[in-house]
Amino acid sequence: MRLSRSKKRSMSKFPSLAKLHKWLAVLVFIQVVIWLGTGLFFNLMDHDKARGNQYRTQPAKVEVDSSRLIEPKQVLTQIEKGSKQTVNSIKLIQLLNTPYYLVNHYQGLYKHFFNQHSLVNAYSGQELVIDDGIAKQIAEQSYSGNAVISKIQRLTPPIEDFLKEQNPVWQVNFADEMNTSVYIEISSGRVVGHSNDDKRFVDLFFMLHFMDYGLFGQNRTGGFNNLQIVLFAHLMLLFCCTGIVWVIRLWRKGQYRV
Amino acid sequence: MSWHKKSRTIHKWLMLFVGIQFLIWSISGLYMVVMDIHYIHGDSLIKQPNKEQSTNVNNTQNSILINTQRPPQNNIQSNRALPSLNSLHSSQLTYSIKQLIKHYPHAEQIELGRLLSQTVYRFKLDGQYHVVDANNGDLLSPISKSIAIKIARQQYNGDVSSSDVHVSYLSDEAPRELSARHLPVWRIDINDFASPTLYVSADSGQVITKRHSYWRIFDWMFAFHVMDYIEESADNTLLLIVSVIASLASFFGLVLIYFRVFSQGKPRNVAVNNS
Repeated sequence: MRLSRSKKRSMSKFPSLAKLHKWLAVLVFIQVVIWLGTGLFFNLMDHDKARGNQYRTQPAKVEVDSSRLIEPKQVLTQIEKGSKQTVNSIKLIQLLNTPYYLVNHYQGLYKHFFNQHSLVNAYSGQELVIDDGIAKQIAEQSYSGNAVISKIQRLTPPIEDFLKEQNPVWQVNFADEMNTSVYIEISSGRVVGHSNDDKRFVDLFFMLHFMDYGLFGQNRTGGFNNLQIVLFAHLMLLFCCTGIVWVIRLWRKGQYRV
Repeated sequence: MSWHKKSRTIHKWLMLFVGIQFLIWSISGLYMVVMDIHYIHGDSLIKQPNKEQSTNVNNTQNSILINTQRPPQNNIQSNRALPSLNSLHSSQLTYSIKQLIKHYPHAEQIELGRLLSQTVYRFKLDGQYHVVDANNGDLLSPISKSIAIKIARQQYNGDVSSSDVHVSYLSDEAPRELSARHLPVWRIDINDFASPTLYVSADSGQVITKRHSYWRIFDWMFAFHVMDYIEESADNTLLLIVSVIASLASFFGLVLIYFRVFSQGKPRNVAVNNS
């Protein structure tokens, strides 16, 4: 009886459930081990450390002397006469204990999407360009550690520590025990974020979980919409279905009796 | 019992308990990787500004026409709407920032922006957004229902008539898809493909969140993926227990792969008959 059933299966057009399950297992097992291992890691990891904000601090706000403020209208008129750039918004912000008008020329849907800004000193009306010296000071103000700066460099996306960021940044590296890097958006002076070895370690696990390997000529995106994971997700679903059907068959055959 | 047989028994039994979660993981995982994350975020629901627009006001008309990223109908639409929609003009700016600060001495995060066709100041006062007309200093917030509908129609990437929307005001309780810190909001449900909803802040008059059916499905998929159906946080005990059992089950699956595939001299159809 048993022999004839197995014979019947092997002669059918489709491979048997067991064969299918076995060979799918061979195809996906490495990634399944990675998924389970990284998944367990996400469950157990220290979620605070993963943010990379060990030494992040918010600079204290200073009192703005409103009598010294120039009018945003003046800023706007100057741009209308001069560069003729579009102005979408003008925001009163503080950088290095000084009020500035942050002028938006191109507004992305989110901060990390492509944006264009310029900065005007709200007291003097002078334009501020975030050079490495300014970036260094902004980074230091956002940093609560004791280490000195070891390196400053200008980076254009993709930025390894913040793959979703689409704006050029200054990378300011501190010589501390966890290799803190501070990222400053060049056009606005915004602190994009801090990164350190803890965060990089977690990011490595996300890369593995998302199969964000940058294969087939794709760039790494920090996300999970890539060809290889779509392929493996299909295989994995098929693999699980064969497993589930197998369990049901075993159950019906009474193989789950204790 | 041999390792081979032992593994088969353990794999069989453990999978009875966690097999269903493997199926849930693979279905939810497949959904999440197949759906484009920007689409899920609802980015396509909002009219996008034009990249070239920023470089020169005089070129705006041309640059919109040569932009190839938009379908043709939308080009016409944005051509009409966008330049006046997003940009500031000094002619609309007569109420000075000094007057504003005099009137609202504790205003924080002051920003000049747009509200429909007006230039406005937005700022925070006691943690709440306020909107003031930059032409005459009139307080425009909290915004009315009809203004909220206009804002939604202006930003929505598609044509909607007023009869296509259903509006409700939320001030106390936020639905699952909205963070409570955004309250109070106007919820604008649009009768269109995938049931989009725009949430317009009643205080700032800005579209703060956009949702649609595929986002809502994604949200549940993620909840089921991390096995936290309320908070949706990956560090929960249920997930830990199931992951550990799943890892054990998979380990014995790996042992089976070793015996069935890589180990020589074993009959290959043992599984079909005995397991």
